[in-house]
Amino acid sequence: MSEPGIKSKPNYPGLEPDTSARQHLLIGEADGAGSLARTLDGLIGTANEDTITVLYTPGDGSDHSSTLTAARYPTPTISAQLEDVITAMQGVLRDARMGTRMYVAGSEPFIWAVIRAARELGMAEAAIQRERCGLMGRSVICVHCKTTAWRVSTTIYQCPGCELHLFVRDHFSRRWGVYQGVCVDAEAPGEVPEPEELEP
Amino acid sequence: MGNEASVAVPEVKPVETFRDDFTFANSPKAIRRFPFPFTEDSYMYSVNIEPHNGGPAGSPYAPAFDIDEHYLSEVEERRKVLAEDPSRCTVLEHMMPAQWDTLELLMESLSTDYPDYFVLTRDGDQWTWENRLLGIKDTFTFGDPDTLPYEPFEYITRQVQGDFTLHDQRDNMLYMDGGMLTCQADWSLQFDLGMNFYEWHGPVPRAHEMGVFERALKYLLNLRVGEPVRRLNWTMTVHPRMDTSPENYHKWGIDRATVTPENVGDYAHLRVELQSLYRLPRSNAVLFSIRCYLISLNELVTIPKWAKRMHRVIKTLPEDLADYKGFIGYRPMVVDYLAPFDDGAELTPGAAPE
Ligand code: HEM
Repeated sequence: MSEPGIKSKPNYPGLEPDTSARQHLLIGEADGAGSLARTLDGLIGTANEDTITVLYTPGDGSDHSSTLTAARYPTPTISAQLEDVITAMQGVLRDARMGTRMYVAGSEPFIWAVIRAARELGMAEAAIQRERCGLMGRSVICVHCKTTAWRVSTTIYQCPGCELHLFVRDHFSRRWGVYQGVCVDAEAPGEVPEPEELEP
Repeated sequence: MGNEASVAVPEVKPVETFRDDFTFANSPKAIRRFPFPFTEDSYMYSVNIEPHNGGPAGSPYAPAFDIDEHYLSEVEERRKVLAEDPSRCTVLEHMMPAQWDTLELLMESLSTDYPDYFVLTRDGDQWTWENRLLGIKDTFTFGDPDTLPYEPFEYITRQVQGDFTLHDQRDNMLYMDGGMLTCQADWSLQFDLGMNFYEWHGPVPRAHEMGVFERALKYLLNLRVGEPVRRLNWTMTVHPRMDTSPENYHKWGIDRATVTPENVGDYAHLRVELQSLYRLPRSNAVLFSIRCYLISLNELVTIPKWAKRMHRVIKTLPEDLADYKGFIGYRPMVVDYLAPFDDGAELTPGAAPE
């Protein structure tokens, strides 16, 4: 049931300072602070400091906010959790100019939650760079009851909504930011294979 | 478009079921016109696209959208699925012009191909649609969704056999931006919504590497108004079950474990999709029609040439395709069932019954 190289599975090319952009919005979670700092190092000096906004949350991971509060960087907005980062991002994007570039670094569920909210405000996905780091695990939606589990780290898990045992496919929806979970023992009820560690 | 003289006027049967007691069956006439997909003794993916400009008299290729003896049954099955899960029909907001395009195309095609059953009368933007098979007669204002009981796409696709998807074209790409999906071969519209052509085909083995999707997409991007194209796709399904959705897989998956050498002729069905693609005139969107036909092995072997060819194709189908199509488990039983019908004789080329 493995699905090697499935085309809907997203990749994470990493962050690359884009000096041609007119506004820069950097958003990070946990270990993502390091990637944001590297991006800032590339921007400072070429981009005007008031065109740069930095939003950060430790989220469920470790707190590296001190990396970003260094004096040479623009003052970051630090939040306790994802929801607050998204609220802050919405504020920035509402009066963003054309030519805004977003840089998102964090765990996969974090990245896609941010992208989804940004898209709703008209950001094109092509203008959003992404780098995955920090906590592993996938957001998975149960195709049967539509319950989303936030950090699934094994190939098979029990759906918190309908309690079916689900196999985690590589099929990924960018619209929802989730992988698909499908009943694993439908053809042999009760025969649930041993879960294995999910590849990232 | 099909021309009137060659389109069969179906004798529509009373409602049969595609679930629970499975009363669905094909008449001898329906068997003979079944869109058998195999033109050779083996099968592999290819860019099998051809113009959809009619076909042999009485065949499912003759009309634009085929209406057959199962019409009432399929409309009823769709109603049941939607009553349980209304999200099986979802269209993204920006596709409203494509919804009206779809309604117009389907109403024009059906009333041209089946004038005894469907009548469209237009007086400016005041349209009257009469569907005699369902006893519907509605007058509405074209372009004003509030004058119909459903949004235009759902309104008309509830009255037509087969699934439909709607695709916006932007930046040389097609997107899954809507659909009516109640008889799908194991894929989810809700999950695939918004995906691009490569993403929604993500799970298909081999075809990406073979360049099939790249060439197919190029072809579709250049699709022109009034020049629809078609292709056949196929899989196998246990029982005549239309709703083999992933949403309900936990309910129907078990069927695959119930096939035995004794019941395989009755249980195992060849499931063929006659897919046609239309460029829509106002919206520039693409309408994808997925018309599903089911035939049990018992019915299929009444056509000797098909029995032989089916045996050869199923026996030699590569493992990864049989696995993807979901019948790898009971494939040996299908092959054993068909083997006695195959004397190894050379077959005439093409998919026709003889
Ligand atoms: C807009 C048009 C089309 C739509 C909406 C569409 C949709 C789909 C979907 C949803 C699947 C199932 C994927 C899954 O497993 O989740 C599929 C399978 C497939 N599609 Fe398409 N498709 C389209 C056009 C084409 C064309 C033009 C080709 C031409 C070669 C093609 C070839 C295939 C093949 C080979 C499969 C695998 C089928 C099987 O083995 O059962 N598709 N398609």
